Amino acid sequence: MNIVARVLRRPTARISIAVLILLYGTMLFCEFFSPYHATTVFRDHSYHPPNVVLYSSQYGLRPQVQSHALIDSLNWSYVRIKDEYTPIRLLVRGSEYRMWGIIPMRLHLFGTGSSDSSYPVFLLGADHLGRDLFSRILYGSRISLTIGFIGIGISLLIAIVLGGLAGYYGGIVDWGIIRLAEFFSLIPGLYLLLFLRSVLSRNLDSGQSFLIITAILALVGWPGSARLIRGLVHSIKREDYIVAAQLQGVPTMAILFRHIIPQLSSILIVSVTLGIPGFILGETVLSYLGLGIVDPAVSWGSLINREITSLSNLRNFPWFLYPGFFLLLVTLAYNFMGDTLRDAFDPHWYER
Amino acid sequence: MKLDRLFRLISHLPQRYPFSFFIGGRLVSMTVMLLLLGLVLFALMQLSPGDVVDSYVRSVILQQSDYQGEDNIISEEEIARARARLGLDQPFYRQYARWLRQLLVERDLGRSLVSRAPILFLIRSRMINSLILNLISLFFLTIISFALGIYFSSKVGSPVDLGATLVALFLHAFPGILLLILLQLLGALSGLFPVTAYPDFPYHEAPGRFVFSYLHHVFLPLLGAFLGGIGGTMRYIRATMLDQLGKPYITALRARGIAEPRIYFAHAFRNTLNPYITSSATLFAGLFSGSLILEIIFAYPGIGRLMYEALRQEDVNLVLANTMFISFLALVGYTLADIALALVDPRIRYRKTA
Repeated sequence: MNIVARVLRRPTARISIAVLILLYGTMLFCEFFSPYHATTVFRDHSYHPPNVVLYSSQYGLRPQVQSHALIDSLNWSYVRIKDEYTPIRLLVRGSEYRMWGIIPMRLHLFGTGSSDSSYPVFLLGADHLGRDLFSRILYGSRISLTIGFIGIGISLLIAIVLGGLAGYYGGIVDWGIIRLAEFFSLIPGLYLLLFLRSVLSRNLDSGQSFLIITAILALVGWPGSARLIRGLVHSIKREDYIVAAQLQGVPTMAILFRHIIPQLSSILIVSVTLGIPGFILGETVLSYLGLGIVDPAVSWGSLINREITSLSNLRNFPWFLYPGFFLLLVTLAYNFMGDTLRDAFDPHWYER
Repeated sequence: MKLDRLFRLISHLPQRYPFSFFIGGRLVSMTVMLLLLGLVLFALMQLSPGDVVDSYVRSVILQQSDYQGEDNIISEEEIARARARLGLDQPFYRQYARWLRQLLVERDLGRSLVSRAPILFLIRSRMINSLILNLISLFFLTIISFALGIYFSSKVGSPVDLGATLVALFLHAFPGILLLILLQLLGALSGLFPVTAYPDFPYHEAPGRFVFSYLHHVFLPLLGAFLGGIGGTMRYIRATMLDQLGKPYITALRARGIAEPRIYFAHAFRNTLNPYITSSATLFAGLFSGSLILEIIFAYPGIGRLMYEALRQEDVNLVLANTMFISFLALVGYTLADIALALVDPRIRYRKTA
C-alpha cells in the first residue's frame, strides 16, 4: 500500500487535508471570498457584533443581515432592530479590487451590494475601527499561512546544507557546525527573537517586517533539524552504495545532495509538516506582543494583538476570539497531518 | 623534572577523575560559549541601525537632574558628549569588556532607565519568581505525565489508549497563546480565579496568607502550562515505554517469571527516565528563563515579563543584561541535565579506569 492510501485511511488525516485545502484555497482568492477589503472602515460600526441570521418572517429561510442600532457609543453596545433585514446575495458586485494585484474585478462571493444604503454584512463581527473581521481574517491568512512555508524553507535549507556537511565530513567541520548550532540554541528561542527584533529597527513597512520576522524565525529554528540531519547522514554514509559512489569518483557534493539527502525525504516531509505550525505560532506571538505585523498590514497574530484581545474586550466582544480559532484549526490540521505522515512512513506500520 | 611530573599528572587527570573531568570540560566550554555570545550581542547592538542606541542616550540625558537644555530638544553635540561619557562611541568589544568588568568586579550593572531599580536586583528577584513557578509546573508535569504515560502504555491498542493519544495530540497541537487567553477569560467570567498571577501584597506582610493567595493566583497559569506540556510529554513517555517493552530483555524477564509490575517499574521505567532527561534538557533550561507568554498574559513578575517590559520601554541596558542572564541560566540548565543524565542512566558510568 502506498503512502497516500495509508494516509487517507485515517479519518483525522482526511479532515486535516480538507481543512488545509479549504484554508489555502480561500487564502489564494481571499479578495473574492471576503465581502470587503481588510482595510475598509465602516464608520459608526466599531465593535459591531456578527449580524448574519438565517431566518426572518420577511425573507424566510435564507442568510440575511439584521440591522443594528448603536445605543451606547461609549461602550459600543448595539441592539438589533426588529424587522429590518437585508438579504445576502451570492456573487454580488461590491467594492473594486485587483485579484492578485493584477486583474481588476468587482465580484465578491457574497455581500449586500455596494450601494451606500445597504447595511454591511459582518459575518464574524467588526473590529475596533469598524472593519469586517471575516475579511480581515481572510486577508490575514496571506501572511499567517505563508510565513510557515517560507520560514521552514529557509531553516530547512540551512539545516540540510550544514547538517549534511557536518554528518558527511565529520571531524573539525562537524565540531564547528555543532558548536554553531549549540550557540544558536543557547538563548531560549523567544528571547532571541525578542532581542533581534528589538535591535532591528521598529519602523519598517509590512513587507520588510514580514521578511525580517521570517528570517529571524528561520535563524532560531534551524539547529534542531540540522542535528537530526547530521545524525542521519552520518549513518547513511557508511552504506555500501555510498562507498561505491566514492570509489567511482563521484564528486562529494553530488554524493551528498543526490544520493544521501534524498534518502531522508520521508523524515524531512514529516519534520516540515510538524515544523510549520511552529513558525505560524512564532509570528503570532511576535504580533501578539506588538513586535510583528502591525496595522495596516494584517495577520492572524495582529488580529489577536494584546491590546485588542484584552480581557474587557473579550468579555464584551467575544467574536474577537475567532482569529484564534482559525489559528487552532491550522495548527491542529498540520499536527494531525504530520502525525499520520510519520506513521505512514514508518516501515513497521500496522493497521489500526 | 618537576615540570615533567606536573605534565604527567595533568595528562592523567581524565583517567583518574573521569566524572569531574567531564564536568570541568562542560564548564570550560560553557564559559567560552557565554563570552562569545556576549560579544555577538554587543556586536549586534553596534550593527543595529542607530535608533536603539540613540533613544538610549536620549533617555539618559533626559533623566539627568542637571539637564539644562530646552524641553525634549537635544543638540547633536550633547548626544555625542553623552555617548562618549557612556562609552558608547567605543568599538563593541571595548564596551563588552567594560560591561564584563562592571558585572564581575564592581557587581553593579547600573540602574534600569525606567524603574530606576538596580538591574542586578531586578533580575535576581524576577528570576526567583520564574524559578518557583517553573519548578512547581515541572514537578506536576513530570509526575502526572509519567503516571499517564506508563498507564496508557500498559493499555496499548485499547479504545482508552486511542482516545488518550488523540486527546494528547490535540493538547500538544493547541496554540499555547490561545490556551492561555481562553483560561484567563474563563477565570474572569467564572470569577473563581484571579486573572493576574501574583498576590497584591508583599510576602513579609503576611507569609501564611501570601502562600495561599499565591497558590490561588498561580493556579490558572499552572493549568495552562500543564495542559500545554502534558500532551507532548505523555505521548513521549508512552512511546518510549512501548519501545522498551518491545525489547528482548523484557521478554527474557517475563520468561523468568518476574512479576509484571516489577518489569514495568524496575526495568522499563528506569530505562525510560534516560531519554526523558535528555529530551527535557530544554525543560531544565527553561526553569530559569520562565515562560514568556504566560508571564506576560497573567502579569506574573518573572524574568520573561521583565524582558518584555524592558523591550517595550527600549531599556537597552536591561534587555542586554536580561538576555545574557537568561542564556547563562539556560546553559546551566543544559549542563545540569547532562550531569543528571550521567547520574541516572545505568549505562553511562564515569568510573575510574585502571
